[in-house]
Order: sequence, then C-alpha cells, then structure tokens
Amino acid sequence: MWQIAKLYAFMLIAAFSLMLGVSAESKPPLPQTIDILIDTEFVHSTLSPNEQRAELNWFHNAGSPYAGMTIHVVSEDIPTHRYESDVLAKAFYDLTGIHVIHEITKEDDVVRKLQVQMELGTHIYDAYVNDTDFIGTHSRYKKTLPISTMINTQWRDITLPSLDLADFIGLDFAKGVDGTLYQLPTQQFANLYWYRHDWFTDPSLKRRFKQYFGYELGVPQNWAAYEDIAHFFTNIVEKIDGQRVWGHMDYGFFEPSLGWRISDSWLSLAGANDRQYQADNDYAEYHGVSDWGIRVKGCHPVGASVSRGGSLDSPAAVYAVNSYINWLYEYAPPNAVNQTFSSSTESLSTGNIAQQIFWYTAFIPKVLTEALLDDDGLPVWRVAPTPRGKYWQVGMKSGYQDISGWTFMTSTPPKNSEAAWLYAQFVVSKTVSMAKFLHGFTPIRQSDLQSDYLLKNAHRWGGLLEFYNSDARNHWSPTGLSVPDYAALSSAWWQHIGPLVGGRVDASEAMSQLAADMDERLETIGQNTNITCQPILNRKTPNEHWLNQTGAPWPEQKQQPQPVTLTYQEALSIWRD
Amino acid sequence: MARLGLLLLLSLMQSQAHALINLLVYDYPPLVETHQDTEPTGQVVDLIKPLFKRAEVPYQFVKQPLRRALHQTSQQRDYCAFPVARTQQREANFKWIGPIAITRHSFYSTSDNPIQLVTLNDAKELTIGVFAGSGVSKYLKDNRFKIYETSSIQQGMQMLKHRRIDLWVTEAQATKELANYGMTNLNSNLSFYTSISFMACNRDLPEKIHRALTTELSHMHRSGETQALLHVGF
Repeated sequence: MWQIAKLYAFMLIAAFSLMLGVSAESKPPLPQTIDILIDTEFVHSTLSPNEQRAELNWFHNAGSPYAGMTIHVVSEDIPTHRYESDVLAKAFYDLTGIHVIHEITKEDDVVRKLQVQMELGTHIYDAYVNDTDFIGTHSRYKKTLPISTMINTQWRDITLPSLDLADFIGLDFAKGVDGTLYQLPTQQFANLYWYRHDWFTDPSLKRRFKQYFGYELGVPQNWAAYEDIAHFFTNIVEKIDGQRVWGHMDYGFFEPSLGWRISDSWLSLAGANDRQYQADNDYAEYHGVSDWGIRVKGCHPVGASVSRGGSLDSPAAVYAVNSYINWLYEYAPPNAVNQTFSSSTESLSTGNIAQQIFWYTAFIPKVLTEALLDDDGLPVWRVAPTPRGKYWQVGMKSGYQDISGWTFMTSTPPKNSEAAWLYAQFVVSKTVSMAKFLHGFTPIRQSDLQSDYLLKNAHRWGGLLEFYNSDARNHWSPTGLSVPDYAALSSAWWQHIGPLVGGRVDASEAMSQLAADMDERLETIGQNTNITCQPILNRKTPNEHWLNQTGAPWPEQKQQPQPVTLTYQEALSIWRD
Repeated sequence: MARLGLLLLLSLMQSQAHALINLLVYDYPPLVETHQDTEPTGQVVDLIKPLFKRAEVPYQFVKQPLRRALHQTSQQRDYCAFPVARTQQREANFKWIGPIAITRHSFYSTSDNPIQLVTLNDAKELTIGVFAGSGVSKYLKDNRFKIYETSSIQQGMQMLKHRRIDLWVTEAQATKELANYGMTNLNSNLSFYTSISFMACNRDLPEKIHRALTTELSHMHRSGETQALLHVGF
C-alpha cells in the first residue's frame, strides 16, 4: 500500500510539474526513483528487489561522471527497441542524468549510417544496435571496439559486476573469426513457422484435408506438405465463418526488405549449403559452403557462384526462389506482392491467414490481438519448426535468427562510447531484461527463460518459450562469418530478386545474375588489403566440377519428397531432441 | 552561320562528354539557400559544384519544392535532386550519389514558451512544425508525433511565433539562418534525429555519369576535403 501511495504522490508531483512546464527536469530523490522503477516498471525480474536496487544504484554511481551528457544511439523498428527508446532511455536518465536519444528507424537506414561511419571514419552515433549478421564485417575490418577486450581494460570500471556474459544465449553469434566479442546482444528473435492451431485441429477441416490429400493435416515438416496445406486453405477451403482465408502469406515489394526474404537463410532452409559450422570449431580450419551460398576456405570467402564452388546459383538455390515465387503468386492474398517486410506483418493480425512459413517472432505483439486469441485470452496460433526444402539434410542450418547487439565504433570519442556502454548494459541488465521481454518477446538471457514467471506463462506465447528453452535456438542462426561485408553485399539480393518477382527474368537467370554480381563484389572487397580473412576468389571452372564433388553445391534432385506432417506435440519434440 | 556552327560544335562536344544534368534544389538552410537571381549557396552546394566540375559533368541548378523535385527526378532522365533523405521506401526509385551531408536535427521553441525535453518521447504531446517532404518529417510521422508540415521555413517561423505550433524542427545549428527570418529568440531544446543526405538521380541516369560522380565524391571524402562540409550541426 505504501508503494502505491508513493507512486500516486509522485504522479501528482509529476502532473503538477507538467503544468508548470518543467516536467522533465523535476525528479524525485534517487532512492524514490529506484523504488518507483522497481515497483512499477521492472516488476518481473530474476533478481530480488534488493539486488535490483544494488544494480540500479551501481548505474547511478557509474554514470555520475557522464551526467549531463547527451548520447545518440540508433536501432531498427521493432517493439523491443520502441520500449528501450520510449521507456528505458527515460529511466536511464532518471538514474544517471545521461540523456539518451535512442533513434528508431528502418533497418536499411541503420545499416547505411553504420556503413558511412565505418567507411568515412566520421562520428555519427555513439552506439549502434546492429544485427550480428555483420559479425563477418566487424571481425574483418577492425573498426569496431572489441567488447571482450574493452571490459578488461578501458571499460573495466564501468562494466556492471552482474552483467554475467555467460547468461546471454546469443553470445557465440556475436564473436568474430578469432573468438573476440564485438557485439553485446540486446534482443533476438527467430524466423519460425506460424500457423492457426485452432484450424489445424478442427475435426471437419482435418477430415476434408485427409480426404483430399490422404494424410493428416498437421505441422508440415517439408515444403511438399507446406504447399499442400497452402493449396488446401487458399483453393479448397476458401472461406471460414464467411471470411476469405489464405493458405500462405508473404511479401514481394521491390525495396531493400525484399532482399531479407531470401538472404535470411531461405537458401539454407532449401538445403543449398553444407552442414552448419559449429562455433566451438576453429573457423580458420573451416572449408565449405555457408550463408548466402558463399564458399569459405580457411576463413577466406572464395566465391558464391557454382563456378567458383559456391551455391548461390545452384539447383537448390533456384528451387528455393522458385518455391518462394510460386507460393507468393499461387497461394498468398493478391496484395502480398505489394507488401514489405513491415506491412506484411499486419496481415496475420486480421485473422485470415492459415500459415506462414517465414515469420519473425519479433512480431508476436502483432498477433496477440483479439482476432487471434481464444475466449481465455490465449493464442489460437502456434510457432513450430520451419519446414525444410528437398535438398535439406540433418546438420544443415534449420532456420534464421536475428540477433541485434550493441556495437561501438573506434571512430566514436571514447567518453561518448563509455556513456553509451553504460546505457547498453542498462537495457540488458537482469533488472530490466524480463520487463523488456514482456514488451517485445525477444529474449536474451538464459536466467529469464528459466524463470518461474516465464515458464508459468509459456502457454501465452504459442511455443516461443519452448523454442528458446531448447537447443534449437543454436541451429536457427544469424548470417555468419562467410559474409565478409554485409553492407557492401546485401543490396545485391533485392536488386536481383526484384526482377524475378516482377516476372522480367526466371529463377535460374535471377540467381545466375545474383551470383555473378556477388562474386564481383567479393572480388572488390578482396582488393582491400587492410582487412583480415579477405575474399580470395577461386578460379572459374565449369559448374560440373563442383556439382560432381561431395557436399555443396548439390546437383539437381528431380525426385519430389513425400509430404510429411506431425502433430504440434510431435513437432515440438524436434526442438526438445 | 558561324554562330550556328559553334553551337553545333559545342553541342557535339557536350554529347560526346556528358549530358547536361538538371540539379533540382529547394531552400533548406544551411545545406541549400536559394536566391532570386543568383545560383544557390550553402554547404551542400559548396560540395556539389566542385564535384560536378571535377567529374566534368555539365549541370544547371533549378529551384523546385522537394516533393515536385522528387517526382520530376523520378520521371526524367537527366535530372537529380538534393538534399534528399535516402529512405528504404525511396531506395529503389533512384540512383544515389552520396553521402553529401550528415545533419542532426533539433527542436526549437521561442524563448517565451519554455519547453524542457529530456527524451524524444517528451515531445509526443506537443505540436511540431516540420518542413514538408523532408526525412525528419517522415521520421516523426512514422513515430506517431503530432506534426504540421509547412511548405516553407517562413510559414513555420510564423506559426511558431503565433504559437500555432509548439516546436519547429531544423538542423541543430540553423539558428543563424533562422535569424534571417526574424527569429532571434529561439531555444534549442533537444537534438534528436540524425539524417544522412544524398543526391537522388533518375534511375536511367547514364552509368558513366553516375560512376564518374561517385568515384570523384569518394576521392573527395577519402582526401578529407569534404569533412567540414559533410558534417553539419553536431
């Protein structure tokens, strides 16, 4: 009761101050600020209130030399970062007196700003929330502060004693070729299969499906089953409760986010690459075809086209984009082709989509809407393991995971980086991390995932916790070290997939042109003598040379696999096992 | 006859080199300041003129509001517009040359209307005036701020003066330029948005011209020559 009274008293003061136009600068004393934050904002935490107080006091003390500074940081637009920008930046100011301008912008803009600061050495931001898809870049260019070194040297006294790096579930994906940590994860989300569990368990729909296809309607394990289910809902069921329904959702608008649709491991799901590189092996020894169909030899990318040993224009890659295009035009709503990464997410919340093979869990807040909750307020949808294409084999990458980490440039003035490092630690601290999860559903800490509170409420998030509490989270991985310069290479994707969506080229031509462009860009990057593990391209050989060897690029496989479905519980066992 | 021959010769020389590029600009101090009878001035203009000269690309300036400039540039081959925010939405519609400016935007209020802002979120309750079609306008709109778009700086200043808007948004060091509009009593409240400007050119701009300009700009950036011009208002 006393806490509530304190809160109301503060709110009264705040309201009065607002009338005077001095809201922002009027603050209650520190202990009161800390209590209010713990009682109202950071209610759920794996730390006890006293441990939270100790952490927040530490931030106050560590931040005092920087009080009055304004720092600028930037991140992409997902609910987690909106929470950081709208709520946590203000809380951090109340604790430390450091103003944080946390800009939220489009991912493409974040990348460009980072690219400009890296290339020109011009200080723009004090820290970036940058996808670990850039780890191959940070590791090679040496323009990024190595966090694992900094926390033992210049940042030793401003590193939170309870930061507990071992508790971060995505840390391995933020380490460079030599194992150095370059980025501190602040959010991560997976790309999973999403479907309407209520429809998939409806007896009459199940009966109709089995009558038509001869097997059970369930969670598809391969693309053959996914395609049948898409056809079933779009062309056979057509309407549920009088509303037009669709068996597939996707996007195809010609702009940068079109590239992510394919570059975020779609080729890996088809089975275009070799078995996944394991972080506990020595990357310098790795030989094989990895993300983006790029072959790597002893940490050096050696080519993306089949003619140089890559798989970007291999039969599996052509099959991957052909499937994307066919499903987009045959089974998705007609407006899907004009949707982007962001706008397409709105479609699921309307409740007329049966399944989506390529769906980012960062958008969970958008599917916790009335149309997609049952009478008990629980989701009628589930997330499950992503179905795989016909070239996929055990040991290959199982899906994509987006991990964003706090990233600091060497060209930022040290004092600004230090203040930004404090803010970065604040938004990932154990005091804050569970509250942040509850706003954005992008977990970063093992301790949160195993907390009583999250485990008790796991049924509210449709399988997300089951995914993140399994080893599967290590097999849904970000773009890895094979991509030597993400910003310089990534635009090739949308520029070549666009003409394919527009029908100006076929899948084979699109991938062949993309692979040639990618090789050319790799060659240009390789001319930079200041980077480590630079691309050194293989000489071109006839495609047969590589297609006849063991491993990727895989030769054409004409046989169509039998469709396979599982019940939801059986599908989850894939993660558990 | 001799005069016609000379014109023909000049025209032939020009076609063998590069076509004349129409550079569409609008008043956006301190990056671009347009004038009635003379060429535009401003920090970006100081970067663009030597760039085109060294790349040997002939040009002429044409004053045009940003929205119309972008439309015309998207439709006609030998047209470019600047300064333009290179948004994800615009990316595929143009060929880009840049960066030509890195700017940070601030909120301004009049000194008789004291407003204290700590984070960007504190401005959510206020009405914000902003230049129509600019990158920062889109940013504020996307982030659900209450904005009023003006077609000119004069209009914005008048609205601020008469309290029809609470805050005006412009580059963090634009107070000198704003003084030209009779506004000397402005408070800078919070710098909140960083924008990187580019030149947007028609997608069919000949590759030869595009390459000449980007190569030359890259050289200017590497030599450090553009640093002072590029980095405005930090």
